[in-house]
Amino acid sequence: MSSVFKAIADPTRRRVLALLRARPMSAGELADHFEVSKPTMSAHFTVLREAGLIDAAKNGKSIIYQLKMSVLEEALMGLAQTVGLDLTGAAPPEGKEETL
Amino acid sequence: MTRGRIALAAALIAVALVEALAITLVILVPEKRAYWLIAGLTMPILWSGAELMRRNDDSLRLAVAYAATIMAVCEAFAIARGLGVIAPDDESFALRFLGIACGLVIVFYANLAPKKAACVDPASPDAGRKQAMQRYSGWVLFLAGLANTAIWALAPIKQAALWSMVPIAAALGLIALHIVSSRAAPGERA
Repeated sequence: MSSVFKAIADPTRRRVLALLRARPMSAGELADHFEVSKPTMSAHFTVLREAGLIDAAKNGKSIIYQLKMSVLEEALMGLAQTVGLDLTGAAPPEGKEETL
Repeated sequence: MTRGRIALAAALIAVALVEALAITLVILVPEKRAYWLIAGLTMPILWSGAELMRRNDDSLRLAVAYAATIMAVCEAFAIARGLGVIAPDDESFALRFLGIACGLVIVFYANLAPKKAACVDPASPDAGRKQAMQRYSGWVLFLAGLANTAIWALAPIKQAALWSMVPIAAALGLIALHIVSSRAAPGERA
């Protein structure tokens, strides 16, 4: 459960989850929505995948991510979004730059 | 030790306690058929639970743990009624408990439905529509399960059985409507 809290504590990861609500997207498509480096995005994806909130599937050369959240996890994320939970000090992937 | 194994072990301990009580009562009051029945019914639950502990299927273990707990509590109610702890003609408490337990089963599985059903091929063109459908179904059934549980917990017991069906029927109707409408306009949903 703590991995879920860690995953949704970061606004970038919450935005990734919000984007994936619409439809499954490739890593490139998702990265286009953020002004962060690809390794940083990749680290965010890893955190989300390890928390069991997204699933990754290979499609040719690209990796497609899709949402894999339970109802309570979605509600928790909605709550975090509403109250503006931002624990970025603890949440970003270790040793990664946040912007280009 | 996995979550399913812990849950099943706890449920089997509860079942074993009921079984021990039932066997004791069979010895003490052999003329009461209910105790024989409870002791006989509980034995296969214990055996199948113990067998399941050795297998590698955690989701099945969780489901069986829940079912075993419900059965153990029902049998405990039956024993308590036989011993006169609960008035013999008062079935409302046991009925209410069973209703709440069933409502919680719906909540539990509806909560996991969007997560477990996330096996849509993400590269398929209508993956977005299918994913939206799964999320919608999960949410609607989750809320219906909560409403069902609340009705069993709070409504007058004589009306609870009928009223508790309303949110479930409404949820199934909403899901059916959503399926029909999303098939009619697949492009808009994806």
